[in-house]
Formats: sequence, C-alpha cells, structure tokens
Amino acid sequence: MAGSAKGSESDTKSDADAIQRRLADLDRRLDKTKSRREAQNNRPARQPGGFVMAVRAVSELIAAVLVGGVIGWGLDWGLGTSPVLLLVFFLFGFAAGVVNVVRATKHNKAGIAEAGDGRS
Amino acid sequence: MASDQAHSPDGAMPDPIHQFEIKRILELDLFGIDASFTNSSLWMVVSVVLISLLTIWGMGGRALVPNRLQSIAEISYEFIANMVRDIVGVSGMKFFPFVFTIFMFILFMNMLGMLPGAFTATSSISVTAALALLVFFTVIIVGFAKNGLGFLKLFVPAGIPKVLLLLVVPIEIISFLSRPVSHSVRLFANMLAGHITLKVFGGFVTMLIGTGGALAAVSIFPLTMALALTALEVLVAFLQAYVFAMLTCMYLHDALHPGH
Repeated sequence: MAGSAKGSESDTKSDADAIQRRLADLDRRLDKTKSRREAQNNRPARQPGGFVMAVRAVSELIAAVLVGGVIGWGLDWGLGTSPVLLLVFFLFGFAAGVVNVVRATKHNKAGIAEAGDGRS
Repeated sequence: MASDQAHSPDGAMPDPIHQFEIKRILELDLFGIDASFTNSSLWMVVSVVLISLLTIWGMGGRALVPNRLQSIAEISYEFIANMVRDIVGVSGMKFFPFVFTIFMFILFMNMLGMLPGAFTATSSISVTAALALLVFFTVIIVGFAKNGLGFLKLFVPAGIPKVLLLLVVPIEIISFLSRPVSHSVRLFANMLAGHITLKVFGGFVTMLIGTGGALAAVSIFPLTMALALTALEVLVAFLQAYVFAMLTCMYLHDALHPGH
C-alpha cells in the first residue's frame, strides 16, 4: 500500500517534470514559428516587387505629362495664347512626372515603413 | 457599336477588340441618360454577389478552425488590414471598409474576366475612372475636413525658398491632378492589353490549325505562349487590384497628414 503510494507520488513528480519540459519545448518552437511568420508577413508589404514598380513608374510619368499638356491646352484655348501655355505646362507636366516617379520609387524603399512608424 | 463580326470567315484573324464590346441587356433611359443594364454591369453585379457570398456565408460559421471559405475571407481581411495599418497608420483604420471594398471589387472583376466568355468590367476606362475619381474626391473631402486649409500644405513643401515656390506649386498641383489619371489608366490599360494579347495568341492558334498541314503543328508555340500569358494575366489581375488599393492607402495617408 505504502509502496504504491510512494510510486504514484514520484510518478506525478516526473510527470510534472515532463510537462514542464514539453511546455518549454513548445514555447521555443512557437517563438521560432512566430518570428518566421512575422518575417514572412512583413516582406510583401514593404517590397511590392520590381514588376509593380515598373508599371507604376511609367504610368505616373505619362499621366503627369498628359495632365500638364491638357491644362496648358485648355488655358491656351481660353486665353487665346496658343501655343505658349501649352509648351510651358507641358514642361511643368514633365517635371511633375519626374517628381512622381522619384516619389514612387522612394516610397518603395523607405516610405511605407516610415509611414507606419507612429506618425499617425 | 459594330454589329456582330466576331466570328469572321475561317482562317481569318478573330477580332481581338470584340471582347470589349458593351452590349445592352436591359434598355433603360433615365431622363435622357443612358442607364442601360449592360454585360459590364452584369459582371459587376456578379462580382458583388460573389464577394458578399464569400464574406457573409464564408464567415457565417465563425469557426475557431476556419474552413476554406472562411480562410479566404480572413486572409483577405488580414491582407488589407495590414496594408491600411502599414501605410495609412492605425488612425486610418476607419478607411478599412473603403479600401477593402475597392480591393475586393477590382480583384473579383479582374479575376472573373479571366473566365472564358466573361466580360472584364475593369477593361473599360469608364469603370476604372469612376473608381479612381471616387478615391480622388474622397481624399480631397477627407483632407479638407480633417485639416481645413492646412490640406493645401500638400502643394507647398516645407523649407523651400519663396522664389522656387513659383515653380514648385504648379508642379505639385499637376502631380496631384495626375493621380486619378494614372490611377485609372494603369488598371484599365493593363487589363485591356493583357486580354488583347491573349486573344491575339489564341487567334494565331486557330489560324494555324485552320491552314492545316505542317503549319498546324506549329500552332503549339502560340498555344504555349497563350498558356504562359494566362498565368501572367492571373498574376496581373491580382497585382493591379493590389496596386490600386495600395495607392488608395497612400493617397489617404496624404489626406490625413498633408505636411509630409
């Protein structure tokens, strides 16, 4: 009777030990998975990839030149100063396009991370 | 709109533009405005219905261990929520429903367009322009509502000599006005170009088979190309929806924090 009671006591002790060990092991594995998962989650948001960037840059440049040209053409049409303002605003549009492209590519490198870090 | 000339005589190139023809399904005239229900509207409705099914029915179980539909719904939520939090900031989460709706709507329209016989609603500039203008005016209204006239600081970068402002302000204004243009044209042009390319390569296959003989065997090359392009188009369909949503977030960030 006494022997069996002692046996069960040591059993529970070793059981608790085993559980402790397994819990620690599980913790370690969870941490590892979590950090890996986090790294995976963060990557695509920061770097949309070269293909996206290329498509964006081209359309930003063309759109700005177009808008500049249309504004100049419209002002010329209204003021009768053709083609002076068309030329001026075409150049403004080109400058705006370059600004757009520079901003788009800058955003890709640091802008998104920077925007997320508590300025909100 | 030209009458049906899609199925040209054997051996001739099928018209690659025909797939973008708008057909009226239900004629409707609202005070002189043509508000007919077209094939484009039909596929927009289909995408809205599918999105609603995915989110409402998919999340209906609210299971702790999600099934496939619920997983898709949860992944898309997480994806957009992270994007909004990363780019607009935590205070921007009140725009999450807006960005999520736009993203899912465009994604489904793009993806449904990949089905044979379906109409790609995003391949018409009117649809993408409407979406881009919605974002554009939202940004302007939110910008002025949140910052008042301070929103105009967007056009006047800090720390620039007064003389240069004469140059910089018009450039910034044009840059701002060009946003809805590039926003809408990018999506529209990508979908249009992709579908035309697919159709052209598909047309090569039928043309080569139509000629028969040794040339029919060569048709394997355009077929391979069409297959590869289909895969690329699925990627583009997703990427364009992603880019549209990402830029929406960036513009909303500008509306909330115009000072840079």
